[in-house]
Amino acid sequence: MLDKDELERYSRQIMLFGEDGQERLKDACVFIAGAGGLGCPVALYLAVAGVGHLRIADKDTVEKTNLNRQVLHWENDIGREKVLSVGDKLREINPHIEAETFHITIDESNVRELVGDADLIIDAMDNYPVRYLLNQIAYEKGIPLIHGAIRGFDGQAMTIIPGKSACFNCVFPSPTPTEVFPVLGVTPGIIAMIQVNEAIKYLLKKGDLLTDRLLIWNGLSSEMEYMKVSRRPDCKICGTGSKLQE
Amino acid sequence: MANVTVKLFANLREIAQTSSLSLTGESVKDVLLSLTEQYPALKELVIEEGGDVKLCGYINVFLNGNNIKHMEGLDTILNDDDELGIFPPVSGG
Repeated sequence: MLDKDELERYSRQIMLFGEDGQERLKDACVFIAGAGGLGCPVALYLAVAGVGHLRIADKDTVEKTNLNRQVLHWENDIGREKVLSVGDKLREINPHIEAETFHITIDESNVRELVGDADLIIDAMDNYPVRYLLNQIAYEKGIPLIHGAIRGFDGQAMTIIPGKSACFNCVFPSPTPTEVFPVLGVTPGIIAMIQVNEAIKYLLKKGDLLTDRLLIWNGLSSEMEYMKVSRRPDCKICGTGSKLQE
Repeated sequence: MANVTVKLFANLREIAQTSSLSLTGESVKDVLLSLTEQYPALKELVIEEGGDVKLCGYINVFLNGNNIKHMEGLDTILNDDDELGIFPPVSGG
């Protein structure tokens, strides 16, 4: 049940999807992989929307070079674990939600437990190896995964409904070379908003998801393009020959 | 020969210093070879080293919004006014 304070706090969005919708958000659990450029705005906007249970994992501590884009980490947080910094801010901005945090490197040994029985996984990582792992776990557990990635003025996003739409490996079978990437804060901000919009639509069962199409954002021309993608029979995660197939 | 528009994304666009150019060719392969001839610095980012012309694994090429992986790949035949996008995934977060 929503209390009086929650009804008031969420009144402008309850106009959109009713108290039922708001309760659905309150009951939902979202696992956010990463508390950096994408993870901060993702967590912030899920929290203010009233998504009730957030689980956030990140291995890093806050550095000065993060502050141009990782908007929940402030000057006084330098040196603190990112997840603690994020957890504090979220509880302050919305006391009605729970934020559970894990200062940990996401890997094969812990990812199943970290994801738990979340309703959704949000990819706010900065590397492909962990993204492949998230995609595999999403497929194994049947939990949707919302991918986002950025570099400079460019970004991409896609929603994956395991077993139904193209998965991360279908679209990106080979990892990109790793690099210290240039980035401006607005780029992860824009991509994170697309991810949160997808998350809220999925939780409310509203609208059309960004499935089987990759959104490509070019900030320099302010253009969004879509690349149609589909499941690949030879995908090593969701393809017909995959060892993960039942 | 088809006249097509080639759109470049992310670091490919930065290297070529243009986001869009016109090229001609029969197939996707012809156009990619013409592109890398014009911008040699793009070659190692788009085409794998070796004898046969093969795309780098992480590069996605899409023709009018559809991935060429689901068509005839590099042998896909082009028509006038087709739009070919060459997209290196970004990885930051």
